Amino acid sequence: MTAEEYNIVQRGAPGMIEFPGSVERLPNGNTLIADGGDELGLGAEVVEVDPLGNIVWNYSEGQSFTHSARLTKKGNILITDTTNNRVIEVNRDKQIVFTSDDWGNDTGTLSDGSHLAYPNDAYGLEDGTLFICDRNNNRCLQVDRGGGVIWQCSEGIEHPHNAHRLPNGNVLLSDSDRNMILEISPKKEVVWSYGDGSTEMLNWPRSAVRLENGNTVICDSKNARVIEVTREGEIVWEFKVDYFAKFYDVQVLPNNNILVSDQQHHQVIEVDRSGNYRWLHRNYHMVGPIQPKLMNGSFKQKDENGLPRHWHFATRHNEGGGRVIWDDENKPYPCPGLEFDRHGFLYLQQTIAVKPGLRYKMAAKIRTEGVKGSCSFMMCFLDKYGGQIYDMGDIPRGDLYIGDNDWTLDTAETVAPDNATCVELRLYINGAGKAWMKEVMFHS
Amino acid sequence: MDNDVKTLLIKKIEDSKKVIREAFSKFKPKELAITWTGGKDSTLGLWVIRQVCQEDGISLPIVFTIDEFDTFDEIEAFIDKYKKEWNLNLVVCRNDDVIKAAAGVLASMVQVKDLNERNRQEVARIGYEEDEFPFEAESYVGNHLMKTVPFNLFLEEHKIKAVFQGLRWDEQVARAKDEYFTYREPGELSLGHTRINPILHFTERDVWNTTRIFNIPHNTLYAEGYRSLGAKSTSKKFADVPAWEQDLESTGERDGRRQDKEEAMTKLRKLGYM
Repeated sequence: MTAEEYNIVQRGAPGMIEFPGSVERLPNGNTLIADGGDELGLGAEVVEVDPLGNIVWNYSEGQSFTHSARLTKKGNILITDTTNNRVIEVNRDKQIVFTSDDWGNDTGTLSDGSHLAYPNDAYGLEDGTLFICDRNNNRCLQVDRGGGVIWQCSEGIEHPHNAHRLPNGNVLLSDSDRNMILEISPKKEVVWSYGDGSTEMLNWPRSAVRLENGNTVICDSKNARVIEVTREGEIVWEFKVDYFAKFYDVQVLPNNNILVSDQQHHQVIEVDRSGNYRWLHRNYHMVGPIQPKLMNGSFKQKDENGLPRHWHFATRHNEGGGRVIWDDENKPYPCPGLEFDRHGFLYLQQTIAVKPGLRYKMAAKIRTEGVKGSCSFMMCFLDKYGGQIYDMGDIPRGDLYIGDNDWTLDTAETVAPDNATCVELRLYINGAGKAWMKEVMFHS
Repeated sequence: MDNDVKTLLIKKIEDSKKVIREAFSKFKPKELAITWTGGKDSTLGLWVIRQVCQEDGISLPIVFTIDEFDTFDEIEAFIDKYKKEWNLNLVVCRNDDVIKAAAGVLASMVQVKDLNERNRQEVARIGYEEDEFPFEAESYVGNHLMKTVPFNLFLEEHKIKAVFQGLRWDEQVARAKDEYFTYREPGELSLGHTRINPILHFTERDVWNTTRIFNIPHNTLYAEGYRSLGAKSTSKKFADVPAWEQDLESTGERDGRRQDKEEAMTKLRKLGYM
């Protein structure tokens, strides 16, 4: 077994947590975690872990970028299988007892003619119906088990997360792209909200929990914090970390501790109200290997999967689209590229070791065709936990390419941040179009 | 041009002078050098530095220009003229070894083995894997050998600690966070040095307004419609009217519409995934 093969076997193994989404402490004391899988699209699953860290149950069959797993009244698990655009319910014997694929004569179509698009949360309600957060349709909805829409709300909501019913009948949801938490009445009136749209107040919030005292605990994802706010909007508690954590989902436990998923550091943590870590589950194997220096920047070598050797095709955020393409006419060697056709991202990348404080230069020639969205070549630095150090908009990069561009020498340089251990050198494309790269260089 | 514009430009020039005076308080004139490409930005920078030196009785630091071989005659003539007129101590830096290995022919292939030891070390250092590379400005290796290496050698030879440059914040989205003084750590074949950019706060429009109001010289290519000058074979006219008459505000100097890129960047920041 080569080192590279060894790494691939380790990655995506059952029970590995690469990208934790929803988290739930179960009545038996175990923790249910939905795992979106790694950058290459491997390892999406639902994991139940006991307090000692043992994996006591998992479900991974056919999963793609799983976002949530919630315990139902019957003891089954309701799962949003996000990139497959479906919601399923499985029992503890791993049998599917319900799937939204069955709706509309097996087309997955709802009674209003629509299809789920990037569902990211689903709860079973007391009456047996489902409450689903349907992100790319910008809505949340209550449906019966046959796909009949009972209620839905989409007005003004952009890319919602974690919509759920409160005991008072209202819906609490994260209106993520608009940086707000909303409480909506059955008449679809906003009866309470937090956030003025500014990123200072909330930056891409993705879950919120209402407490018995009327306060709300919010996962303020891109501000790397969890906060508790009163009905009047006063922050009465904050848990903030000094790295780019991107907390996803939060649960307030009976002992008042906070269970939260940290996607960047690939872990689930339980903190008390003093911010002490009371429990942590981390079982991560980085996409690797980490190269000592740039390998195969000329794309002279291709591997058996048709990818440039030492480069990875990262599909986790591709929403099911895109592929690697080659310009076979290019001299002296064919050069690779990406073709994409939808919302989301696609990367062709290589991980290289770096030393903090050293200045690095990258260069590549880039060509694009019909890029709607954008394309660029960038240096995504990671810390020792495999966490991205910069948010997407701040990653050091060369120029942004839109539309058609003939071969252009693209260069950028930056100092590796103090906490950097490696860099993912990436060609990315967002939206639709084609982009190729060649003559890649990376050096200090 | 109205008085408000002139007042603003005078303020911007004064801000640049503050940066330049700070540089002279940190470094001796002999430790400083001025990069001059013959383009509008570095010429404006040089003009302001010269003023400070005249006002404060400081001798003008050494000026250097990097000859990438693929140079416009108009730029050479311009540099030559103002070298004499402004009485500059000017050094022309050029990687003759690479030119020799390319037999002085643009776009020809250069064999790495034909280069001298220093150039071969540089090729190895940047991790270039091939045995040959094209002698052209759009080749990263060619660029490194013809621009970065002469720059580093100049610093070594003249014991330079800090270099004035003519970058501006509005040149590229990525440049918007640059600072007036940035320290470059020493590398394997490069000395540590400080880069000073006294005209960062000038927009492209400011540069042209200043150049025209204060009669600062500029080379004739801009009047022909060029907006940004690099290597001769890769620089293109933007339009058939002089640079200062073009729509500078909604288009980028080098590439596509600035607005589109800023919109794309805003979208990227909003896209939640990463």
